[in-house]
Amino acid sequence: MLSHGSEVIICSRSNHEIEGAINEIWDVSDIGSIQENFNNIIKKYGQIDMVVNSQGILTHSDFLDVSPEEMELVFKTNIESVFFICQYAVRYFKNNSIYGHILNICSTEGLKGTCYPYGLSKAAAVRLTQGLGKVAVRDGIIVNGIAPGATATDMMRQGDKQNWAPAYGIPSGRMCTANEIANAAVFLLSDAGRQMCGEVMVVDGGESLH
Amino acid sequence: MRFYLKKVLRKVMSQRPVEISENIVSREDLFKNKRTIVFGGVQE
Repeated sequence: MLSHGSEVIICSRSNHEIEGAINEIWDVSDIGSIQENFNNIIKKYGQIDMVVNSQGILTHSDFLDVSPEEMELVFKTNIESVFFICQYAVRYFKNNSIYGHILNICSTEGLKGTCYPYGLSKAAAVRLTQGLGKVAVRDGIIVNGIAPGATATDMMRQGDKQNWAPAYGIPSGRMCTANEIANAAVFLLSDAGRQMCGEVMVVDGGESLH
Repeated sequence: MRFYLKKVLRKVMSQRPVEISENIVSREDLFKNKRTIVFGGVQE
């Protein structure tokens, strides 16, 4: 987004040193603070045109070991915060007659049968994107999503954090890169994607096709 | 009346077709004068 001329404000628990981007430290799993923080960002920086929900947390417990606390943390971060950020963004766009875009970063894990918190929360994010896409477009607000497959981020490092997870079973023979996910985001957030509503675009090297 | 016109304009604008004449991924001015909020950084 930065390289295409947009001003970018990253709201995250940690500081991301991305040249040209503005950082705001904000834990989105604190649901009660979302409205106030969202309003503060608009007051501080001005009109917002595009909202990207890229927050996510992945846990590794087996089904029998998942605790209520783990489930709550994953759902608060991966879907509850996405829901309320979408709600505030749609209200803001509508009240200010902005033809805004919302992009939810889901996951191919949300498209499969699953019994783990991450996949379940991402399945909810997929359904939210589809449902809201249909409703919000009536006000000229475009809501879409991306379902990345295995992507070479730190989340996918294994064990000693030095090795990438293997790319077994991915027809393209490798994991996605962050740039390949970003290219899909550029398309969906541009006016070229204005007639796509509630679409969750799969970017996974063919992994979910078998 | 103003509200009605605003509503009609919003509908027309949201439905206008867009001509794609170049590779959008390479356009540096694609999001000029736009502001984006990104929630979350790299997923953990």
